[in-house]
Amino acid sequence: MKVRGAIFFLLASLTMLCAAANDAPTGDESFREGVAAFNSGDFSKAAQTFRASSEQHPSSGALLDLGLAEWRRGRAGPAVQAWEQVLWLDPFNGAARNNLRYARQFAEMSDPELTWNEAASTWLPTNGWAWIAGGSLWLAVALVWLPGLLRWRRAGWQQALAAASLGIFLLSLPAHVGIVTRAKIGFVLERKVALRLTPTEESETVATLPAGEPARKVGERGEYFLIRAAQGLGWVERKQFGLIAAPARAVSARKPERSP
Amino acid sequence: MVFGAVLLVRAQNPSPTESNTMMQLMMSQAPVDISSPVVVTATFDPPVVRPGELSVYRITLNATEAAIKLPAQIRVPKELTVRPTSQGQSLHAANGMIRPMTTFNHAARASRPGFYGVPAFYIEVYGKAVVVPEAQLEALEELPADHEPARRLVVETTGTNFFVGQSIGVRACLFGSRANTIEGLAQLQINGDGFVADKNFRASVETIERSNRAVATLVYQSTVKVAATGLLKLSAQAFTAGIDFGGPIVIRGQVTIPGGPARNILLDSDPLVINARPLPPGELAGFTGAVGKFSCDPPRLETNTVRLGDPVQLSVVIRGENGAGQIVPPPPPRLKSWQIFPASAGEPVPATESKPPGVAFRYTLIPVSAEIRATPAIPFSCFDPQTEKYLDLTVAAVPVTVTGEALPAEIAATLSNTELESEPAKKLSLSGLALTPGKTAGSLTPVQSRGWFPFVQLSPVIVFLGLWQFERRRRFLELHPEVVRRRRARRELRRTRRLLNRACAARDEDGFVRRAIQALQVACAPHYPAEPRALVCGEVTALLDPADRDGRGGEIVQQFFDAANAARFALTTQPGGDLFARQTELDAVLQKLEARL
Repeated sequence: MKVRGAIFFLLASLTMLCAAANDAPTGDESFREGVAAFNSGDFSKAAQTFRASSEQHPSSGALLDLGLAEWRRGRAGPAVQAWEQVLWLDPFNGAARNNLRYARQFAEMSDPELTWNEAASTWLPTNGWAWIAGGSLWLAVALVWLPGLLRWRRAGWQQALAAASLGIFLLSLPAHVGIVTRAKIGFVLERKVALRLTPTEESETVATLPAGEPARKVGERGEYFLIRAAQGLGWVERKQFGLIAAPARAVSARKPERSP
Repeated sequence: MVFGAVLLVRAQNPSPTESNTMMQLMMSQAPVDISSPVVVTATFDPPVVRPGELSVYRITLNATEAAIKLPAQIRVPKELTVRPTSQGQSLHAANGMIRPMTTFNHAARASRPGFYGVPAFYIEVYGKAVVVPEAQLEALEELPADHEPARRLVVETTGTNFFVGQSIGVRACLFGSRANTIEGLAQLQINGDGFVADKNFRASVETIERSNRAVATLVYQSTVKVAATGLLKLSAQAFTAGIDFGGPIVIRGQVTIPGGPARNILLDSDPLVINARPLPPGELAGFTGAVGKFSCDPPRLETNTVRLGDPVQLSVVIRGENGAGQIVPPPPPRLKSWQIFPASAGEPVPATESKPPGVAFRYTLIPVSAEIRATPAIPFSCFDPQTEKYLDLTVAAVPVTVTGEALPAEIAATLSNTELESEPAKKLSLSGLALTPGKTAGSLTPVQSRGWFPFVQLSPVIVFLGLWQFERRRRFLELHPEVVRRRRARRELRRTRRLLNRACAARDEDGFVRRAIQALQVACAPHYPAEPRALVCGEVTALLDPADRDGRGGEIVQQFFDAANAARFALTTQPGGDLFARQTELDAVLQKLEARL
C-alpha cells in the first residue's frame, strides 16, 4: 500500500510540476496601460505596450489586443500573426478566430494550408498534446511493468487501462508531430516583401508577398529565412517574417514613398 | 500525297504580316538610358539661410531610382541637422532615349551662424560606387532683403480631425516668388500611409494674402479618403514643370509664368498631421462605409405594373458633395417574395440647382409571388461626421402591381426554397478589446522543442529504476531476515547502552541493572533467533568466547542476572554489591557481543 501511495504521489507531483511550468505571472501593468492607450486612440503606444506584455508573459488577451492595435494602425501582417498566436495558446478563443476570418476576408488574404495532423493539433492547446503523449505512454508502461515488479496481483482493469493509454499515446502522436511542423508556419509582416532567389540584398526577386501571407520556414542563413509560400520558395529577411511560435516583433519603419 | 505534303508545309510557315502588334509597340518605345556616366549634383536650396531656417539639401543624379542606394545616415557637422523628406524619379526624352533623373530631398537646418559643408561621400548606383560631391551651406544672422526662403509645397485640408472613410479635400499650394512668378508642377502626388488618394487634380492660380502681401499661388485640388485610424501624416511632392501645368488651369489675378525649359526640381511639403478617428459603434442597418453628408432621392421603378416572374429595374440616386462616387450600394434584402440582384456599378448623376451631384444604382427585381403590393425597402445608412451620428437613408418601398397567376417554368426551376428561406449572411466584424490577459503561458515555443522536455520525459524512467532497486532490496531482505534482525539489534543495543550510561551516571541501581540485562539480551537475541526478553543468563553466556565464558566475562554476566532476579523475585532486599564499578567490564562484554552482530 505504501508503495502504491508513493507511486501515485510521484505521478501527481510530476503533473503539478508540469502544470506549474505553464503558469506564469502576467504583465498586468503593461496590459492595463495598453488598454488605456487603445481606448484613448493611441494605437501605436497600445501596440508597443501589448507587445511588451506578450513578450514578457504571452497571454491570449494581450495578443488579441495587440492584433487589434496593429490592425488599427493598418499593419495587417503583425495583426494576423498576433491572432494566430492567440489560437496557438488557446484554440477555443472565438474572438481571435472571428478576427482572422474578418481580416482575411477584408484584405483578401489566404489561410495557411494545414496537413491533416496539423489540423488535428489545433484541437487542443499547444502543450496539451505533448503532455497527453508523455503521460499516456508512461501510464501504459507503468501499468504493464509495475504489477510484475511489485508483485501485485494482475487485474483486468490494469491491462485495459494500459491498452487504452497506449492507444491514446498512438493517437496523439500525429497531433504531437503536427505541433512541431505547425511551429514553422509564419506570416509576412510587411507590405510587398520581396521573395528573393538568394539570401542577399541584391538578389533577384522571385515574387512579391503581401502582408499576412502565410508561409513555412524551411531553413535560415544569417539574417534571412528560407520560406515556402504559395508563390514559391525563396528567401526573406528575418524582420519581415514572423513565426507563430516566436514572440511578436515590432515591424521596422517604412521607407519614404517613392514616386512612380 | 506529295502535293498534299507541300500544301501542309506551306500552311505552317508564319507570314510577316501576322507579327504581334503589341510586340511592335513595345519594341518601338525608346530605351531607358542606363549606360551614360552617372553625374551627381548636391546643392543646398537656398545656399544662404538664417540659423534655424530650413534649407533643402538636394541630391540629383541621372539614374533610375531603384538602382540607387543611399547610406542610412549622411555625415554632417554637429551644428547641422539633415533629415530625408522625399525622393522621386522623372523621365525625360533626349536623343532618342529616355533619361531618368532621380532626386533625394533632405531638410537641413543649421543651429548657429557659420559655414557648414557636407563632405563628399559614396553612394551605390547600378552596383558601382559613385561620389556625391561636397555641398556647402552658410548661415548668417543678417540676410539681404531680397532673400528667398526655400521653395516648398504647402498642403492644406479642411481640418485635421476626420473619421475613417471620410473624403477630405486637399490643396497642394506652391507660392509664387517675390516677382509673382509661378511655374507648373508635374508628377504631383499626395503621400501618406492610411489614405487613398484621387489621381485627378484641378489646377488653378489664385492670389492669396501671405505676410501682408498678395502672392500668386498655384493650387492643385483633389480629394483623399481616410482609410486608417490614428495619427496619420499627409504630405505632397512634385517636380517643377515650367509652363506645363498638366491640363487646363484657371488663372485669377496677375501672374508671371517664365518661359524656358522646365528645371524639374523636386519640391515637397512638411507633413500635415491628421487625426483619424474610428467610427463610433451603433451603425444602422445598411451601412456600407459611406461617411459624409448624403441624401437619397425617392426611388424610381421602371414600371408599376409587372408580370409575375418578369424583371423590373429600381433606380436609386444617392447624392453628396464629396465621395458620392465611391459609395458602395447597399446589399438588397433577401426575401421569399422577391428575387433581387445586387446593384450594378453606379452611374454619375449631375448636380441640379438645389441638389449636389450623385451616383445612380440600379437593382433588378423579379417578383415571385402574386401577393406583392410594393418593392421591399432597402436598408441604407451613412455616417455624418459633422453631427457624429448615423443617418438612416433607407430606400423606401415603391407600390407595385403584380399580374399573372403562376411563375414561368424556367424561373420556378431555378429558385430553391432553401435559398429563399435562408437567413441573411451574418456580417463579420472585429471583436472588442479583451479586458483581461486570459490564458497565459511561459513561452510560445512548444514544450517538445524546449531543452528540458526530454529530461522531464525521462524522469519516469528514473522513478521506475528507483522502484526496481527498492523491490530488489526488499526481496533480498525477505530472503535473509537475519540481516534485518542484526541491523535492528545493533540499533537497539546502541540505544540501550545510552540509557545504561545515563542510569549509571544517575546512580539508579535498578535502572542500571535493568538496562544491563536488556543490552545483553538484545545483543544475543539475533543469534538464536528469539525475543530478547526471553533469553536467560545461560543463553547469554553461551554466546561468549570460551575464555570469557569461564572467566571474568561470564562472572559479570552472572552477577547482573543475579541482581536482576533478586530485585524481581526476592522477598527481602539483599545487598548486591557495587555493580556500578563493573560498568567498564560490562561495556567490554557488550562490545564483544556487538562485534559479533
